[in-house]
Amino acid sequence: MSSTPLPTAAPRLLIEPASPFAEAELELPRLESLLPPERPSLLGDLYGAPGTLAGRLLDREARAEVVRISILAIVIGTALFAVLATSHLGAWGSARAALLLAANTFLGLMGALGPIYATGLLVAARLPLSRWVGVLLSGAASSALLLGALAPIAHLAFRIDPLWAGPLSLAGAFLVAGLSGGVRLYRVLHALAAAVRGEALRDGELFRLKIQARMALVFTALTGALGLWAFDPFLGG
Amino acid sequence: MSTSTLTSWLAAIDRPARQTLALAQAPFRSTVGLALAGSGLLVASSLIAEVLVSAPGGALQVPKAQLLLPIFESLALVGPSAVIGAAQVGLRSTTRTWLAAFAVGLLIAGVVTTATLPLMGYLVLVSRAQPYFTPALLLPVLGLAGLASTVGRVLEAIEDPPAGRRASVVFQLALALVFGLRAAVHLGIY
Repeated sequence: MSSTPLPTAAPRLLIEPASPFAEAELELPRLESLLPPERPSLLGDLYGAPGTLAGRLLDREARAEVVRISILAIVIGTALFAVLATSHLGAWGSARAALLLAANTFLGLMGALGPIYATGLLVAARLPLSRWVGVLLSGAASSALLLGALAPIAHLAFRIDPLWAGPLSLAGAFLVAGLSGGVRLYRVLHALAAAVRGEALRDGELFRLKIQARMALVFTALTGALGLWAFDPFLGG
Repeated sequence: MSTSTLTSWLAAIDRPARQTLALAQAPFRSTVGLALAGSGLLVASSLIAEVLVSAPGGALQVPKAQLLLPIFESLALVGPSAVIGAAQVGLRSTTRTWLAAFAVGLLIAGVVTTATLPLMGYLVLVSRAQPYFTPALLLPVLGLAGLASTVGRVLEAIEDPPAGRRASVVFQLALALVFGLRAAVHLGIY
C-alpha cells in the first residue's frame, strides 16, 4: 500500500511500430499529437491519480459530481456482474440479483458509514461526514466496476461447473474487488490528508490513517457480506 | 468495398498504433465497423478452411469451429479486466483506446487468416494422407497470434517503456492462457 508517484511532466517521444515498407513518416503528424486529450472520464475519476479525486472531494460541487458518477458506476458494475453471473437462473433470477446486489451495496455503505465515522473520532482523525460519503462511494464504485469487468469470468465458470468453479469464482471476484477497493480507499484518504495538510504526514498520523482505511474496509465488508447473506441475490427467488 | 475502405485498412495494418489513436477519437461506429470486418474475415476464412480441408472427397461437411469460439471467449474474458486493470495501474490507454486496439487487432487477425486460406486449398490438392488433426485448426491460432501481437505492439507504443512492456506481456499471456484452456475444452482434450 504505497501512494502512486505523481506523473512526470516531460512527454516521451513515442516510437511508432510501422511497416518498414510504409511511406516515410515525415509528412504524418507525430504520434504524440494523436494521444487523447486529458478529459475527465468515469474511469479516470475512479482509477486515476488519487490526488485528483482528493481535490474533487474537497470542492463542494465537484464532490456532488463524484457522488453522481460513483452511484452510476455502482449500479452499472453490480448489475452487470449480477446479470452475467446468474444467467443460469433465468431472466427473473438475473433481474432480481441485479436489483438486490445494487441495493445491498448502497445499504451496506449506509450501515457502515456511521461506525467508520466513529472510528475516525476514536483515533482522533475526524473526516467530515460529507467527505466520507464521497470517499466511500468512489471506493465502492471502483470496486463495482472491477466486479463488472470480472463478470465474464464468473459467467463462464458457472457454465463450466456450477457446483465448484462458479461459486469459487463468485467469491474470488468479490475478494479481488473488495481488496482493490480497500487499497483505493487508503490512497484517496492519504491524498485527501496530504491535500488538506499541504505537507507530508508524520508517522503517527499515517498509522492512524491506515487504521481508518482498514476499519472502513472491515466495516464495509461486514455489512456487505451480511447483506449478501440476508438477501441471497445469487440463489434465485 | 470502396477503395478508401481498403486504404484505411491497409493504413491500420501498416501503422496499428496511429490507427488505434485515431479510431479512439473518431465516432465509435468506425471502431465497431473495423472490429466487425476483422471478425467477419476471421470467422469466414476459418470456416471455409475447415470445409475445404475436412472434405477431401469433395463432400461438404459442417464445420465444427472448435477453435474459433475460444478466440472471442478469451477476448471477452480478458478484455474487460484489462481495461479496468490498466486504468487502475495508471496506464495512459483509455477505454476507447483499448476498444480501438482490439478492433485493429481483429482486423489484422482476419487478414492473416484470410491470407493463409489459399494454403489450405493447396493442402487439399496435394495431401495424400489423413493427418492426425485437421490443418484448418491452425487458422484460429494464427488469428489469436495476430490479435495478441497487435494489441501488445500498440500498448508498447502508447505507454511508457517499462509499464507498456509489462502490460503487453501480461495481456498476451492472459489471452493465450484463456484461449488454451477454452480450446482444450472445445477440442475435448480436457
